[in-house]
Amino acid sequence: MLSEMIQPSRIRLQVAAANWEEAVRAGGELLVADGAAEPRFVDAMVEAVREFGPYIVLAPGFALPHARPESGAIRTAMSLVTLKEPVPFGNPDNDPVDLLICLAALDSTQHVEALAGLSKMMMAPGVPDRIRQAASAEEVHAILREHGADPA
Amino acid sequence: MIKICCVCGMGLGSGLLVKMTVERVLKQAGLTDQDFAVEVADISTARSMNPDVYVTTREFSKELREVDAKVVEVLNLFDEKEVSAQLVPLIDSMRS
Repeated sequence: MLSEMIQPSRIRLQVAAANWEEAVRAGGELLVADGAAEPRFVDAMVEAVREFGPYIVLAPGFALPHARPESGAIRTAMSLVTLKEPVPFGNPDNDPVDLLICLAALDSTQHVEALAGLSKMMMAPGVPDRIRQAASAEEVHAILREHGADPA
Repeated sequence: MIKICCVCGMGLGSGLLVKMTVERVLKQAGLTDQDFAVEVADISTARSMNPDVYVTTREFSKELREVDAKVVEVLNLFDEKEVSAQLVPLIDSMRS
């Protein structure tokens, strides 16, 4: 479930990031601090954007940075970051970004239900903006529990 | 049976999300599991999947230009209307 994947300890709000790399690293550091990924995983997330381009910007203002399991993922987990000021990733359609969910995955299956919850939540009208405007990790976590439950 | 392949960088994130959106809009359009099958591939293996349709983002559609399949480019992965407007008429035309 999305709210189990993103524990409040892995939520940081209104982060000051000067550019997309700082934003990705802010989310990655939360995974490292919680023991979900090795520090090199954060480098790999940044490298993936350089390698493939800003394809991780999946919707207006929203990015899903991640790297391959073998790049240092320790367990399946996600972190959530909102930014004080949006930053461009170089994605012409969906820039600038001010909401990031970073994903450490061990394979392509364990996080599928959480992604389904994420998909549902991101489609719910107004919900992504409620996360952007949230003042506390607990408030965000309550939104995740309310809107990110596994779809039936 | 129309074979759809959702392509992303690693087959872990956006490809899975595109798959969910594709399945949802096709079922909303009245199609069933007998009509279509959706799989996910990363860009390095996507060419070997031989689907009828690729669904992907702008970055990867560039790399799929020379394939012998339709390529649908999605800008907002969570926008059912956008995905539906592109995909449903295409699938309908392929079935008739």
